Amino acid sequence: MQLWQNLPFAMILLPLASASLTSILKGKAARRAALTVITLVTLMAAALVIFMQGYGQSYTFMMGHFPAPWGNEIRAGMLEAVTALCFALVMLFSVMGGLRDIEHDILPDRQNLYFVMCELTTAALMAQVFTNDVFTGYVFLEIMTIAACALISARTKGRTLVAATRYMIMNLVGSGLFLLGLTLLYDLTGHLLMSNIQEKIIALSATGKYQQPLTMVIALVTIGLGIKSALFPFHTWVPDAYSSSTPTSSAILSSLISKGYIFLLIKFYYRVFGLREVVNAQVEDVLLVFGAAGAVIGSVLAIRQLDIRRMIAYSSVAQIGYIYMAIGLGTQSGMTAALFQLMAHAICKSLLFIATGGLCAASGEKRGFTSLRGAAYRNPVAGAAFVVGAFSMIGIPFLSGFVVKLAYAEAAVLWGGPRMITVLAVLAISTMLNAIYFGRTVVTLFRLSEEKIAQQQKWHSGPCFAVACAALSLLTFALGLAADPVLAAIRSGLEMFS
Amino acid sequence: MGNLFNNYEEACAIILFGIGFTTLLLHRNMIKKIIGFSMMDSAIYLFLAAKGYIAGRKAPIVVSVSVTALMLALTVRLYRRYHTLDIDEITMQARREEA
Amino acid sequence: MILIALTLLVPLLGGLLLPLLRFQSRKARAWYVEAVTLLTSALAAVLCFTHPTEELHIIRIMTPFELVLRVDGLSRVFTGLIAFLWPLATLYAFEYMAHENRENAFFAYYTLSYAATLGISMAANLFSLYVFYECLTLATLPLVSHKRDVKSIHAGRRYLFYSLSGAALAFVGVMVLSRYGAGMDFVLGGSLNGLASRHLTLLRVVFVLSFVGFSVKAAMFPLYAWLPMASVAPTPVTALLHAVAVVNAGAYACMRLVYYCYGSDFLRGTWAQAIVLCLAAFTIVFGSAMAVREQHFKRRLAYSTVSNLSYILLGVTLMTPAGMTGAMTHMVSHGLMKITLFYCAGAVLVKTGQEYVQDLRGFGKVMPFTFAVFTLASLALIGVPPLSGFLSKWNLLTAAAETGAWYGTVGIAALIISAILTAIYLMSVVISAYFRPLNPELASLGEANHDPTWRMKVPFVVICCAIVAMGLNGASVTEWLSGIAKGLI
Repeated sequence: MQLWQNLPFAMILLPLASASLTSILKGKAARRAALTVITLVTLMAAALVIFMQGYGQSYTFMMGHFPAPWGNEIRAGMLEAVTALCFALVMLFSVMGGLRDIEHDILPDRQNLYFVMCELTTAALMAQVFTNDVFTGYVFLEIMTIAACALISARTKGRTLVAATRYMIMNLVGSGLFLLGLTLLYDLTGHLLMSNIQEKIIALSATGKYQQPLTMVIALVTIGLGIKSALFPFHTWVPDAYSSSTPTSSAILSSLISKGYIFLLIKFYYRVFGLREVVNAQVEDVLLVFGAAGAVIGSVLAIRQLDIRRMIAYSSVAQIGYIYMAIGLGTQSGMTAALFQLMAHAICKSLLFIATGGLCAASGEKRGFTSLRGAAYRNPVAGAAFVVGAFSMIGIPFLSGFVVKLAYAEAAVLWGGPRMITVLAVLAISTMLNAIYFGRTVVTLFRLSEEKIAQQQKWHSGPCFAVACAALSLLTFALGLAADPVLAAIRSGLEMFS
Repeated sequence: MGNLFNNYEEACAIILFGIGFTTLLLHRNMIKKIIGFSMMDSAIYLFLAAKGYIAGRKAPIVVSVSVTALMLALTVRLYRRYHTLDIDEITMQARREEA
Repeated sequence: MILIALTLLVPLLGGLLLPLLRFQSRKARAWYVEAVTLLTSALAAVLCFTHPTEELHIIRIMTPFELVLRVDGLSRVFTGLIAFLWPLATLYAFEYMAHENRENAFFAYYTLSYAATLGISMAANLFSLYVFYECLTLATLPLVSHKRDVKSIHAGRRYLFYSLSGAALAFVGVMVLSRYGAGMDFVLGGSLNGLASRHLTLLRVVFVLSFVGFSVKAAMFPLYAWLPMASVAPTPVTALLHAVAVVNAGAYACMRLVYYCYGSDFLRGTWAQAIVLCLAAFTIVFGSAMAVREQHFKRRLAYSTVSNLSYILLGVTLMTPAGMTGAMTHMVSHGLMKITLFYCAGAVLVKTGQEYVQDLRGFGKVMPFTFAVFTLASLALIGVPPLSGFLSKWNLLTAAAETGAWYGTVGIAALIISAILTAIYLMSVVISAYFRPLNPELASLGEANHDPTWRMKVPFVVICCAIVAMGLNGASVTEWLSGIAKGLI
């Protein structure tokens, strides 16, 4: 046992402990504490990636050295490390980029609580990434849901309250189904640790009995997490929740919390059920169909929006559909593509939400497209960041979205047959639809007659905003230019996974 | 049919879960939704108890209590603002407010 | 290898640095831009003549997708054409853009487009071509909506949507070929692998889709509508990008797709060929007919481009070496002729402000030099010997006749009908300019000579000489191009 192997444990415990401390701090101090903690978590994740590269295999870590079933196990591999790094980075820059809006949107005496929620979300995300115990996974899933609800309703203006309530209801439905699935799973196998459950499931499926209950469990877990991550057609809570909250909350919700659920689902598929069982149960086909439908319909709905934040929210629905579509391929390359998209989209969507926050602020807190005309001249940093994000969503070369398309298409053509045609058709159609609404938005942001360009009042969102925009844009470019290392890490991580 | 009676605890738990689930999903009244959620959760504990819960953990129950508290708090805030418990009515009002 | 890198880097950096240099005077900027384009063209010319065989590997985006540049026979034709026209166009743009604003941004994107076009012409595999194709869309979008009025914003949006959608279709083709192709590189005669014979229908469907996708830039029916709309852009843009670089890039990509990826043998005689050929033939007639109807001068020329680009695509879809020769000849000669026509329209617009055909009556006296050039280019485009247009149309006609199949007949019919229509829509302008009196409300224009200055005249003269020279040396040009089509060069 080496010292660095404690890192995942520290990454969960540090934000959790700091969250309780932060709650007694005042606004400014709380902000500083939260940013410091999240930065530390990011650094630890980066260190873990480096150590992992040298170590070359996964390991389990028992909290307090109690063996199962009493102890609580953590497991870390390459994939967990990379995902944790990505999540921590996005968390850090989402909070940094939205600081001005947080000050503006949230009552001063509540601001420290907002940062508490950010830290709790970080802890819960890390726990879901690293846990090896299904019930711990569930507990942190619920903590994340509660924190998300608080993040939405933190802004007092607008319909955040209704949005938070609808979010809670849908999520409780999802959690209920997920918990039922876990209970049945426990009933079937008598274990709570992922590795033990998988052993038992392999033994069970060898006997050929209990096929139906197992399919039932897989379906329940999938639907439960699908609802929570806004898989079409369970997306109805998304537009309100993403569009009415403060930009940081929207960024965290769409790029981290929903991704956390999806990561947990992939983890369940690999570490609990085993990919083969999932494919046998034909859950994959259903995911492919719903994912493809979501990718197209989400984009169609996005075209009809007149509010930029709602448009981006619907685009999230489409992108989540995309991820599920790749999971639905049920192959290693499909899963690699899904995980790459998970990270690329996390970065890109938070960039878009943060940039939109800056653009709206420069346009008098209005979100209609007519008010946003020429906003890129009023807030050039936000304008440039938005262009990067939007082009990445369309899939322009040299940006992460393009590599996503490449990885998807490659996974699809390797598979061949009707699945290939479905995926390729969805890729083409969704690129066109994205070109319509993101292209339109980009043109709108620069739409200003020549005389007026010089007269525009410049708006400065502060250095933190600029740093966040620059960093997220750079990450988008980095994933688009040098995707091979990341893809290799995902592949080796998936091998350690099963 | 015989199996159903043999495993009556599980059958009962699943029926309760179903009732709670539909109430949470379909009822318009916020309080009834919360009751549905509580039923759903209790059904799961019943199920676990029937199966002999050995892991000796209390965490899920803690989660359930805090979620119920959060939902109730949200309901109180909604009621103060919109003076109704009907979620459809509240959504309508919120939309009107924005327009 | 260094040469290829430099050819791409000079316009790329030149464009990126332009806004940072903060030129105070128009003259300094003009010299800077002209120097960058001339240097690039010189480098490109050296590449065309020496045509080094080594490849430049730029970046591996994701295994096995890599950006690779190389100069082969077909690239030499396209690179040579743009390297010849770009500096002339820049010269013309200096005078024209004097009455437009934000020249810094304009020339920056203008130079970047040069880099993107060169990237397309030197791409060594379909993936690289696709990447540069997307880059060209983005670099030209700000040029199309440069004026920022409602019309140009709409045109820009339309252009962006059409191009990106076309690219989305083409992307499917790129990816399917990565599976069924033997390696990614362009090989004359096609590079499908053994798997392909078992997936004929799939490959043909994908071929039609990606052909239609790439031909969006070449404005083939049914996705042509962006081109006439884009004629609201400043004339140097419409001339260079929408008569030379962008549209030819589309035709060039189709050429690569047919002859270097799928291979003409794989496609000849199939329903896939029938579909694309009929679309091209229909567009030839349709574009000409629309041009006859159109009264706006620049839009009429834009419809003429729609029609003429499909001449090239017709040559491509004949799927014989002779067809490819015809396509290349017309690509070069149409580029020369159409840029001249657009420049005349631009000179009329910038000097007298007239945009509609009926207002140009009697302009032969107002702008004698401009209209002399216009007449020459018109005659060339109609196909009067010994000008370059005759050569290219002759090559296309013989190629169509040689096939001896029904689709050859379709092609010949389309070419003949279109030739008559071309004569109508161009000669009506020429005849009314020379033989009808000035419109009474424009009588004041008749008092002075409104021809442009030397900056616009130099490009006119040089390109006209090229048109005549190409027509006179028809035999050797054809021989050289058919050498490329047969893989000898």
